[in-house]
This record gives sequence, C-alpha cells and structure tokens, in this order.
Amino acid sequence: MRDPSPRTKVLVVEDDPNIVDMIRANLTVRGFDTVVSTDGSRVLRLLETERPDIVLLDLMLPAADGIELCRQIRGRSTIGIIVVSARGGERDKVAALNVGADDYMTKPFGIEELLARITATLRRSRPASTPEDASPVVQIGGLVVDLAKQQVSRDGIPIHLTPTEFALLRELVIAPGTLLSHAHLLRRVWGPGYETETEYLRVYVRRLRSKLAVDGQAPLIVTEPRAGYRFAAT
Amino acid sequence: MAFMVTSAVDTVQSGPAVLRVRGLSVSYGRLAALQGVDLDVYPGEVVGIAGDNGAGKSTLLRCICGDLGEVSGEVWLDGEPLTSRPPPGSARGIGVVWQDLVLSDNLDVASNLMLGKERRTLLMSESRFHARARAVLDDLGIPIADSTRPAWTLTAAERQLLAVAQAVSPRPRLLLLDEPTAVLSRADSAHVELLIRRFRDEGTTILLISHDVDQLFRLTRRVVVLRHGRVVAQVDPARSHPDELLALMAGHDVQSAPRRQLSRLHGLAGHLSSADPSAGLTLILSTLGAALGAQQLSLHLLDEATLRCVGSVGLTPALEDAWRSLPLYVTNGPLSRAAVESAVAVEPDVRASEALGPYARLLDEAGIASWWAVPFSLGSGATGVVSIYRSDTGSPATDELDLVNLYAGYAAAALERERLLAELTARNKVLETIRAVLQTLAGPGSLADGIGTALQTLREAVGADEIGLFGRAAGERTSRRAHAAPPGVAHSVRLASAADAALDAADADGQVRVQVVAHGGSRLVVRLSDSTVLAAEWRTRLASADERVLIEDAAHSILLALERERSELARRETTALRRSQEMQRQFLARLSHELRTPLTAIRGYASSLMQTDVTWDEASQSRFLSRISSESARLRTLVDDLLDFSRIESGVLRIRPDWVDLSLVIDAARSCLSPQAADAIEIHCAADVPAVWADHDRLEQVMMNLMDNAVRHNPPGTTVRIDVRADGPDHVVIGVVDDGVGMPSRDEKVGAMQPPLWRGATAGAGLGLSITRGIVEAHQGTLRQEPLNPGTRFLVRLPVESDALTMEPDDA
Repeated sequence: MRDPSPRTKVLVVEDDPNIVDMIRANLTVRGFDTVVSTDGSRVLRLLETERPDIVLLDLMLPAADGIELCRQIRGRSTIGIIVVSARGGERDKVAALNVGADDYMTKPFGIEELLARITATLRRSRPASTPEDASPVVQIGGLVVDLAKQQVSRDGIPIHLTPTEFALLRELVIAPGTLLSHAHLLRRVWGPGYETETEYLRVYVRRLRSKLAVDGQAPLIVTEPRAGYRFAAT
Repeated sequence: MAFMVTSAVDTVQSGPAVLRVRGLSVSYGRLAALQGVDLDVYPGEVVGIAGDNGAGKSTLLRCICGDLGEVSGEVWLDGEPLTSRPPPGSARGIGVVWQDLVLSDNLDVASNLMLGKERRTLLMSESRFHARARAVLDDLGIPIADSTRPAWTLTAAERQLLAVAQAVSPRPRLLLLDEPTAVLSRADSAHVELLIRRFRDEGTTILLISHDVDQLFRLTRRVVVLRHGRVVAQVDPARSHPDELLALMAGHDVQSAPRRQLSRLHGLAGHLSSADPSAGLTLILSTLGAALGAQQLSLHLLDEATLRCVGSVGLTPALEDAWRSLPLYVTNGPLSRAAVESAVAVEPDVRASEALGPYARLLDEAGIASWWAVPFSLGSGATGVVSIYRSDTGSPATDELDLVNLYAGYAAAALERERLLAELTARNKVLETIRAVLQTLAGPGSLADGIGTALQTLREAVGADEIGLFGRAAGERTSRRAHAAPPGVAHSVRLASAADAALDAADADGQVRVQVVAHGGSRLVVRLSDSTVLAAEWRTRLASADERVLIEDAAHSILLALERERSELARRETTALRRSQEMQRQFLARLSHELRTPLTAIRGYASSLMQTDVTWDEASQSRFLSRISSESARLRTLVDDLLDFSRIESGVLRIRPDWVDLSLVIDAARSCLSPQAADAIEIHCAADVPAVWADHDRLEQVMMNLMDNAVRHNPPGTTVRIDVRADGPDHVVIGVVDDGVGMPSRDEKVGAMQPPLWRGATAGAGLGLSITRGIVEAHQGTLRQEPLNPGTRFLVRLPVESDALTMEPDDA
C-alpha cells in the first residue's frame, strides 16, 4: 500500500472542497499523486495531460453530467473509474456500471473504504502475475486470451477490454466448463467484501458477452440461474 | 370572289421588300417540306402564314432565319442575299418567337430577356441588369414584376410574353412569330395580340404563323396560305371569310357549307373551352344562329311543368319577357310539343298558325315567320329545347336539323358543366365551413372557446336560428355546453328537451333526427356520444338537404374535437404527474447530495484521524477538526432549512412580527455573507422607506438567501444591487438585481474556492428559494423573479402592515 511503484496518480473529480481536501490529504500521505478537477469541465484534457492511473468521479458536478462524463472517459481509456455518488440505489449503481465504471461508492464513506476500493481497482489494471495453474495463453475456438499480456483477440483481430473486463474473463477462461458462483467471481475480480454486489457481475458479464459475441454462435459465457456463470468449454 | 390569288392582293409596297423569298425548296429526305415558295414582305406589313400541320409554315420561318442548311432557292433580307451560315437572327435585325419555347428554365427572367444581347449588357452589375430588364418589361406592358424569378416558375402565358419580349426588345425590323398564342388561354392570347398590334402600329414588319384563323384575320393585312409546301393562295382578310381560308388550307372547295360549319365548330370548341360558363350558352346559340342564318334563337329547360328560358340571342324585349317562363301545354306551339314529344316540332308559317294564339302576334311583331323547336336531353335526365326563329317561312332541311342537333349537344354539355360547377360551388361552401369549424376546433384555444366559435360559423353557414351542443353528466340533467344564436334570440327550451330526448332514446352515435316543428320550422338533432348531442333549429323553415349534410359533417368534426380534447386532457395529466414525480425525484437527489456531502467530509476527516497507518501532523489534525466542526454547522443549517421548508409546506411557519427597519435587516444579512460576496453587493435604500410590520429574523433569512443566490449563481465580478423603496403608502419593494456580467471562472485551484462556511447550505437542494418565497408569502407579500439580459431581478413586495400578522403569544 505504501509507495506504490511507480507513483500512482489519482484524478479526483469532486466539487466539495472539504471532501477534496480530505481525500487528497489521505492519498498524499500514502504516496499517491493527486490531480483535482472541481467542476468536471477539464477532465478529458487532464486525462491526456496528467495520464492518471485511476479516476474518482463524483456524479453530481456543477459543470457536467457525471454519467455522461463517465461514458466519455470510458470511450477514450481503459483507466479504472470509481464513481462516487450520494445515491445508493441499485438503479443508480447499474447506470454507472453500464457506462463503464469499475466500482461504485456511496457517500458518506470512510477513508478505509476509499483506500480499499482504490487498491482493488488498481490491482485489476496491474495484475501481478498469472494464476499459478493456468497456461499463459488460453485458446478457445478463434478466441485467444493472453493472460500474461492481458490481451484478447479473435481470429487475429484484437478485442479491447478494460482491466475489470479482462479480470472477469480471466476468471472464466482459466476454469472452462466449471460453474463459478457469483460470490467467487465477485471476490476474485473486485475483491473481498464485494460478494453481494451481483449487479456488478450482471453488468460486466453483459458487457463482456457483447464484446466477445460472434453472430450465430452460442454465447461463450453461460448463465446458470441463481448460481453463477460458466465459460463454455468447446 | 372573296379571296384572290397572289397577284391580286393589294400589298402596301412602300419601298423595297424587307423579305424576299424566291423559289425556296426544302426537303427532308424524300419529303418535300417547301416547294418553290415565293414570298415578299414589305416594310410595316403584317403578313399571316396559314396552313395545316405539315404545310411547311415553320420550315419557311426557319429558312428565313437561316436555320436550315440544305435549301435551294434564294432569300434576301433588306436586299442582302442570305448566306448558308448567317449570323444569329438578332444580329440581322430579326426577332423570332418560336412555337416551342426557347426559354432557359434555369435562368431568371432578366437573363432570359437579355439572352443573346451584346456582352456589355451581360457585364452589367446585377442591380442594373435587373433594372434594365424591368424597364424593358414595363415598356412592353408585360406584367412580370419580379425579374429574378427563374423561368420555370412562370405560367405558360408569362413564358410566352417573356419570349415575345425577348424577341422584340432589340426592336427588330422583322419580327417572326410562330404560333405565339397556341399554348395560351384566350385572355392571355389577348395580351400577346395586344403586344403584336402595338408593334404593328409602331411599324414593325411582322410575319405571323398561326393556326387561329380568326387571329390572322384580326391582326394581318394579308394571309399567305401554304399547302403541301406550296403557296396556294393569298387572302385579304378585309374581303374574305375565315371559312374560306380554312377551305384553302385544307384544299376544299371554298364555297362548301360543311367546311364553313366545320370552321365554326372549330372556333366554338376553342371558345367554349376557355369561356366563362355562363357565357357558354349564348356563344353556342350565336354560333348556331350564324351557321343557320337565323338572327333569333332561344333555349328553354323543362322544369316540372314550366319551360324556363336559360339563354337567348336576338329576341325582342317583348318576346324575351314572354318567353322567360312558359307553362307546358299552353299555346306555345312547337316549344311544348318538342318538350313533350321529345321530337323536333316545326311551325313553318307562324302567321298562318291557329295554335299559337296570342303568341302569334308577338312572334309576328318580332319579324318571325317560322319556328323550329329541337329537343335535347341533358346528362341529368332533364329536357331542353332549342328554338330557331327565322324570318322566312318553311321547314328546315335535314342537314340544318342535324346542325341544330349538333349544337344542342354542345348546349347540353355547357348546361351540364354549369350544373356541375354550381354543385361544386355549393359543395365547396360546405367544405369551407367544415374547414373553418375544424380549424377553430384544432386551434390553440380551449375547446370551450373553439366550440362556441365553430357553432357560430356553422349556424351562419346553414342559416339556422339556433345551434346548441348539449351534454349530460352521469345522473344530471342535460345542459347546454355551447350555443350559437343571433343576438337577441332567446335560448329555446325545446331545443334542450329535444336534445334530452335524443340522449334518452339511445340513438346510435352519429344518428340524425329530423323534426318538423310548429310554424313550418324544423330541427336537426345529432347524437355525438352517449352524453353529447348537437341540435340545430330553423324556426320558420325546413332545413335543406345541403344544410343537413353540413350539420352531419360538422357533428363529426365536433365529435373528433371532443375526443381530441379528452385525450389531450389525459395526456396533460399524465405529463404533469410524470413531471411532478421527476421533480420530486430530482429534489430528493439534490437533497440527498446536500446532506451526504457534509456527512462525507465529517466521516472522511474523522476516519482519517482514526487511521493507524499514518500519523497526522498537528496542523492537519487541527484543520481536520475545524472542518468537521464547520461541516457540522452546515448540516445543522441544512436541517433547520428543511424544518422551515416543511413548516412552510404544512402552513405552520411561525412569524414573530415587530416594526422592522429594512436597512438594518439588509445590513445584517450582508454581514452573514463571505467578505468577497459582501463586497459584490451595493445597497441603495430610499430615505422615505417606512418600517414594516414583520419578523426581523425571517426577513434577514430572505435577504441572505437572495444575496447569496445572486452572488453564487453569477461569475466573479458580477455586481449585485439591492434597491429598497416605498411602493405607495402601503407597500415596500426590495429589488435584488445582478448584472450577470462577471467572467466565468476557469480557475480550478481549490484554494480559490470560497470557504464552505459561507456557502448556502441548502442551495443545491433548491430549498433556499422555496423558503424565501414561503417567508415572503407568510408576510402577505409577493416574490417575483424576472430574467434580465444579462442578469436576473428578484422583487420582494411587502405590505407595510399586514392585517394577517398579529402579535402572537410567544410559546417558546
């Protein structure tokens, strides 16, 4: 946690100065760099100039619609996005995940929760190593998943996945044919404490399916109602 | 002899011929278009060229223009022989109007007019170019006002006029016109002819090709007749009859009577197609009269047992009067006989006739010796009779009767046309009314207004004395929803009872009841739905079939409009409900955000202090604590505001009134703002502002909210001006105006932000304005917001002393 190497840069998009101050004090003291946008208007430019590793995005901003901003960030980058919102309803959560958020945090939050979510999201975008018992490259039909390089292609054409999408795919492909429970997938992909966030899974499975889908072929990710998901073993 | 061969025609031979054609022959393959044509045209002459299709008229014209290559023979213009590749006509002083129009559709009027003119014209500026074009058109009296219109937007007449203008605008010495009016209506032809006459009178030499023999007779001094590429004759219109020209064109015996008829029919057909229908019958009768050599004719229609005169030519006033309406079976001789027996009836000698009785003298006095009556039937089944009155005795020959029958057919067609037109007009009137009704009903006004106007329109259209729309709500009596009657006409109770009865009778929707009422009046009752009835009353007459149709159609429109209103109402309710739900949702979202933001800061700072992995320095610790404290204060303000809001909403806001000095209130409010915000505020308080009976703290809250709102919602640099003045003896007005001209902030540094303590805690939730309004209204005052450009103005108007605010016992 201390001194992540190289130094991790967090873009904080938040309009309340006290919350910004509180977040920045905690991140700085733990060795993160922070960049702040207080109204959301310059986020896309900061994304290019500052090249942050992760975005903390408040949904209610004076100069921008947070959901739309999230969609635009995701349209340009696979950067980790943690959405921060005063609303904790399921619909709000799904709306944010649908436009590409990796995680969703409801106000008010404690500093431990913030740090844990940041760490979990960063972990997905910077996988330490491939799981022990998996071969580094998995091939299923025309689909090639390179677990080491975090790359996916179909028939030689690359498919761009966000780190969270890739993390989910990894869990599925290393155990083809096996029924993986919701809680297992959530814990493996998002981390301990996320086991009940089944809407995360629903949104990401749907996104992964649409990215991997081939016309006329049965879906690769099979839903086992109320139990979990299974990667189709060819 | 009415026509003469070439040599015998008088020509105005003033000087050498402008145009001299000798032995001109043109062949298209084996077809000889022109064979040895000779023609001389002298200055100032208007020469017509007549001939059937393919006689070589246009070919001759093209040769004169030099447009044909392979020709034999010679053409001289002004004594100069025409070469095989001459310069364009206009350069040689020839203007041509071709049969097939040669306008450039994509060019505008002016460009078409100036086409082929000297380059100088084309290099003119746009405005001078059009000014010149307009001058040319004005000079020629051509009614095309806008010279920038593209040619394709012109009517046929305008195009032809423009083509003529194009040909004559350089004032050619020889003007060639190829069927200039063939595509035009008679009225438009007249305009072109007028133009031709004017050129003729100005001395322009004109060669006119026309199918219209009458036109040639009207305009020219000499007509050259071409047949099969040869000049067969030249005719002097002053001494000839158009029939003879037609005969020459067709190669018939000039004297032939059928030929003459043919030409008349030819002309009649042309006339009828363009004539005003009411003039049609007279036209037919006079043409028939001319064909038969009869001066007096009449046309009667049998209407039940009466023969009505619908058209006549040449009748004496006495006869016209007597003939206007004749009873059937009375002594009017052949007329009644023809009508009854549907066969030709002839009175060969009026004077010798016993049957005509008193009419015999009348006819005799009109110089009528014999009378033929020829019946015909109309498409509608009615019978008509054409009467021909002749000054000599005797019966008609078979071919003469055939002729009358032929013209009677024309008359029948013309009458039929007239009848259809009248029907169409009546139908149009109905449609027009319905359209007006529909428009009124579809208009933006409420249906109640619309229906009233629509009923009024309808009432006038059908000439009813009263029209009402009646409705009945469940379990109630039928009542009048809308009503139309002329001023001063009382509502008829009977109309309402008729409506009531129609609703009781469970008629089908759209069913019409026709009722005859006392004094020859009538009533129409149309059921629109199980609760609505449209009823109309004519007090002294019966409704006609047309009026009934109109009422039915209008009832249908009203039914649709009622339906539309019902669905519109439902839609509006749904929208309003959805909007209020959406507003509620947004309000709760903002409120949640506003409550959770300070909570987040408090919890975040507090949890930071509790972290075990870091040790905060003293400055950080104290900053965290002070922020926790200020955010707690912010939360408290928010909760207070929420309580105020709910008190206002439930009407239990407590006001503690006292005599209040507004300038003190405003100063106090300003001192609660941040120093930057306070600096942006200018206060102007008039000296004569009285103290008001109000709650000081609540007014301070109002002023703080308004000032804070003005400062916060405007970019830095905006000035906010507070004006306090008396409004009459009983009111005070406080204006809060921002000019909205500050520069929008680009600064995103946190340090530049205002400390949160000064921020309106409830601003984001939108409570501030609601609370402000609630407090002002609790003081019996009003709050108005007006957009300025730029900026905004809030106006608070307070009563100096409100009756409603009485000193309440403090129950604190």
